Amino acid sequence: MTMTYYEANQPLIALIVVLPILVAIFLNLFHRRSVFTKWLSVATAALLIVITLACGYGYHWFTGHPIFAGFRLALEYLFGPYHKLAVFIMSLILLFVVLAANLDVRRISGVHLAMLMLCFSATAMAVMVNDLYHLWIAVEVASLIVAGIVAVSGEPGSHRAALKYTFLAGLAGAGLAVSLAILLGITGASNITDAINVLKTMNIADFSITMYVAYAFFVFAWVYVGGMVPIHPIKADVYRYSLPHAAVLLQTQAKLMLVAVGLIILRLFGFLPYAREAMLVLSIITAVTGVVLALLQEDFRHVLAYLVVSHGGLVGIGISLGTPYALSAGIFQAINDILYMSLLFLVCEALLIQLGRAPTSTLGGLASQMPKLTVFAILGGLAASGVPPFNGFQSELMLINASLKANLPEVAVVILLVSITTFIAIFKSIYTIFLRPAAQPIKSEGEPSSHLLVALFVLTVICLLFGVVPQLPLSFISPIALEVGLAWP
Amino acid sequence: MALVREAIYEFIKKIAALFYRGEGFSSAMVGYATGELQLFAFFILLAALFRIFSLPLGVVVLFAVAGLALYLAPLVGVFERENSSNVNVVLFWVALYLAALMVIPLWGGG
Repeated sequence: MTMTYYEANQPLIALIVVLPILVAIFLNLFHRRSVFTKWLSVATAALLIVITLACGYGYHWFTGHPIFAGFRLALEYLFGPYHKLAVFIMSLILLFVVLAANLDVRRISGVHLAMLMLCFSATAMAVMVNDLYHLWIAVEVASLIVAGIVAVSGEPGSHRAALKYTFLAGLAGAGLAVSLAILLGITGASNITDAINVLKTMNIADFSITMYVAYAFFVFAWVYVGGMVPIHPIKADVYRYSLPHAAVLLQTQAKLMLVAVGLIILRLFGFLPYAREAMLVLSIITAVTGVVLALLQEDFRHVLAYLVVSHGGLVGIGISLGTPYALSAGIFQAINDILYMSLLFLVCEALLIQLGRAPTSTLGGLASQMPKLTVFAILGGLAASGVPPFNGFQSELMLINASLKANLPEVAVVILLVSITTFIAIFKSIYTIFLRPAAQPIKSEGEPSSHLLVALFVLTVICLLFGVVPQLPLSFISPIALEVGLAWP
Repeated sequence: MALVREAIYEFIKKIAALFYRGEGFSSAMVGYATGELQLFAFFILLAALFRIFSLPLGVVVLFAVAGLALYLAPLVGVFERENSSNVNVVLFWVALYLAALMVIPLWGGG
């Protein structure tokens, strides 16, 4: 990916990463002043949306050095149309998450808000970075922040889930470091574009075994950040033991990092024989494993946790196929997944605030007490199941087409199976919580606050918009897909 | 013939008993039954996908997997146990995964 048409040194790109870090310091310092931390976090999230929209396409070189003698010496961030879309969606999600975090005054915490900010920052780093060393930093920082967010939730089992995730971070981070060391040794360049340019001039047969070792460790990092098989039970624990609003940001982080690391793997190793086939098999196994485990869960949050894993597999299918069309489909699926899973996790947040920690399997008949929330839950469920005219339908249809174009009808059938089973898993829970008669009367405080309802409404509208006008998000995604995409072998 | 009928009845009863989760008919049972069907279909599809590595071997794998899945049914209980988040279970699969990830490309790449 050369992106030679963007050469300006854009200062706002750096602000997307630096601003949340600075704000996190203040949120930590003033963690007891709830009014200050509330307004600071909300204002920062809103400002990040404005910065993302105002930021022009281009590069940012952290030490200000431009390209020297054909090599990029500085830490480099790239901000193209896809990056704009991804960071914009993440900023919007951050705003909703911060609003939801501030709603429950019993749990308001400057430290928790600071970690949400750092999670945003690390993910934005991973999305925009064009440097191997900086990518490793982003993955490491994000892993620790994810563990921190889970640990502060105070949910039973959260500390154990955080510890397990951190333990595996040691494996994945070390593996990624080994992979980067090998690549640095082979190419002598830490910038990804430079490394690819050097690789093009070399005879791959001389070092293919070494490249496969680097590939295996890189893919392990991909599996780790995306919560794919075999890390999925630990990642699902992360989602189900964090607070639902935190799970919204965590699943956004996982999907965007899955795409970011996946694109880098495709650029660096896509030419290796059977590399993409191995990733494809992993993605398919993840998609099915996640959805089957979702079927076996009773609690709505646990169902969603495994569905996030499963849909990560769908994103992986698009990336592994790697053709420009499949890549567009995979990235579109990631964006859509972020939107409708956020919607459904915010429904869980509303249930938690209004009804306390009661397991959702013990609820019933809430449709009469919370009709608006019921409608949003149903619409979110339809979007996640790939029912037209919602966004999930468009991206899943594209993934099916991409599989058929690659002469892989089995993969198309798997995607269909996952889509149908998602419907069963989600609507089993929605029926249990909202529609079936309650076994005993349930006291609720009625509809959730207007902040949450507005967030649910905006997410539903975007799901509908991307479903009716898919060209809108695809116009942002297609340039990077065309740049990185390869022919299916 | 009666013996065969008896054997089939016993087999179905064994599967039904394994699905039993305290209620005669519950949402959990729906989940487990759907999961079992999903898994069976998936293993067949995954075996069929082996053709991208080797077509003749793919055919053998397809029949072997279909036979094994039928013999070992119900699969969903084992599947749930093997997908536990216990660190020892996850690490076992991680070790296996890294080995497979290395072997398949090296083998395929010659």
